[in-house]
Amino acid sequence: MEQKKSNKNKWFRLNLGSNSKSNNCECKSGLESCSNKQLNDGYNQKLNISMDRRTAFKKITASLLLGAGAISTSCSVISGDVNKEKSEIEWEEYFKGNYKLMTNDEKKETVNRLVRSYELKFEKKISMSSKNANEDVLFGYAFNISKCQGYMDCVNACVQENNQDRDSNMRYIRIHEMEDGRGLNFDKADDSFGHEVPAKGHFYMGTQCYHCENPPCIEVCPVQATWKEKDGIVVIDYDWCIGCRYCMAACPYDGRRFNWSEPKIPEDELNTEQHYLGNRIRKKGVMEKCTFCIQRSRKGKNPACVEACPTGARKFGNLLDPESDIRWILENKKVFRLKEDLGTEPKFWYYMD
Amino acid sequence: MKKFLIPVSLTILIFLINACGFSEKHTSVYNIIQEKTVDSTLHSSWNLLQHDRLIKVTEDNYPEFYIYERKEIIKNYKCSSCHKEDLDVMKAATSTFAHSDIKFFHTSLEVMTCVTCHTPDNMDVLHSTANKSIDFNRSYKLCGQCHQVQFKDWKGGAHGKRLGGWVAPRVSKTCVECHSPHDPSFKSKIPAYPAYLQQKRN
Repeated sequence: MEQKKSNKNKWFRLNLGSNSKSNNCECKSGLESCSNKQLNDGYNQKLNISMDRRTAFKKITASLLLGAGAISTSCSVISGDVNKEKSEIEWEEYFKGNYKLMTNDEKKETVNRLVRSYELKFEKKISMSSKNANEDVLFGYAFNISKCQGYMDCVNACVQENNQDRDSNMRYIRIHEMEDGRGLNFDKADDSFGHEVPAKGHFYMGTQCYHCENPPCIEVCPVQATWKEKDGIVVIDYDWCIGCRYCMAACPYDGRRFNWSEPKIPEDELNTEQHYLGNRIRKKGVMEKCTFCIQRSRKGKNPACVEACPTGARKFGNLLDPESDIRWILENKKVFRLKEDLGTEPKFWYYMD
Repeated sequence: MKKFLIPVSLTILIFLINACGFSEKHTSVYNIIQEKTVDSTLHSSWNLLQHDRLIKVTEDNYPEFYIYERKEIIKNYKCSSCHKEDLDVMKAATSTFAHSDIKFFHTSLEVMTCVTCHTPDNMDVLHSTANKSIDFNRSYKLCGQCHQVQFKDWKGGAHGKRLGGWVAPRVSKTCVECHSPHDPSFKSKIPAYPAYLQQKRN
């Protein structure tokens, strides 16, 4: 009976690979020997491991070395205060949790640490926000295909606003030049034109992250480093992302980008108005994408692309506000979304004059 | 047979539960929009705007919005500071055309000339085709006479560039802030994205 009770308490155990018969306790030598056969769980997996003396010594030496290193950097009297603070920040940053699960105070703490660590490294102040989603806001976007002229001011503004890597030509927005009379043919479209625009007999269509209401990218993330915020923005915790690129493969719209190398931004072009989930400086090996300029939109501003567009082809607003222009477009213009049949429900509509 | 009945029925049950779960999970944006309505004055981006220049536009059946006034920033306004006399008298007095910098590419001169919009006997105002006076600040009324589709879209918010943020109230650019009335079409140019262009040149 005791055996069964203890098993019940361990509800979290996955009995993968273990013999199911061992649970039934077939041995007849009494209860004590039975309990010895219990599977190792939690820390027991580490502590109750059987190993010979040689491996034990090896492990102890390795962990001692590691620990000594960490302690010597964080507690050493010899190294300067700056180094000490740096490694303290590093230590705390290393063991912080997923941003999604943080309380407001924890969010502020990590943001302060990141700001301080940037200041220590580059002797330059940045401001980083951890502002949560506003109440009663659901962001939506509309794009007028008739009006886009292919000027790419949006791409330029986006790269600068979001501190994207200049070396790899990273860009969230793609402007596809499509031939008139061939429909929306993305295979034949050119998204890296350098000739004078608008080219005769062509129209232009921008794509980026659509911030789907049912985003397939967040379903596949094995570590839940990407999720949909309350205001409908799909975000990534760059510190939680492991760079597996499942989300990139799951996105039907090619909305996500991967940092193959350390992002490089010219110092004078760095945007210091940052948000934890937005344009703060990324690391090598993490995903990033359009966040509807979360650092701007949560303050009531328009995303950089909307502000930069000289033709007014880009519209942004609160879908829940019946007086907003985005709602007027949805209700009065002929709108469509890409790959509607997938049920992803993008919050990004295209329309024509 | 009984041996198989339980696992088979279990599999079917699990499948059904999963199927139901999926359909529940799918949310439509349109449903969300219909279910919830918020007060548009909840948030504010007033600080992004030049308050002293705002003019309210109220048109029937359209939400109210604002534009910036124009007269303060038109360089040569008031026009009457030069146009003190009647146009014909001034034309006779000098042989040079003072506005030779203005090239007219709006439409054929058979359809419209300077005086289709400008008023010869009062240069400080414009006028409609029915000779009703229109203030320079309300020049959209003039454009809206012919470009009615664009005018409707502009009033609704589908056409035109919005200023400030996404938060109500809406402030839009007026027609002539993007389209020069004398040469209204957008011009072709080299795309702005510099990093890409550099690569192309190399």
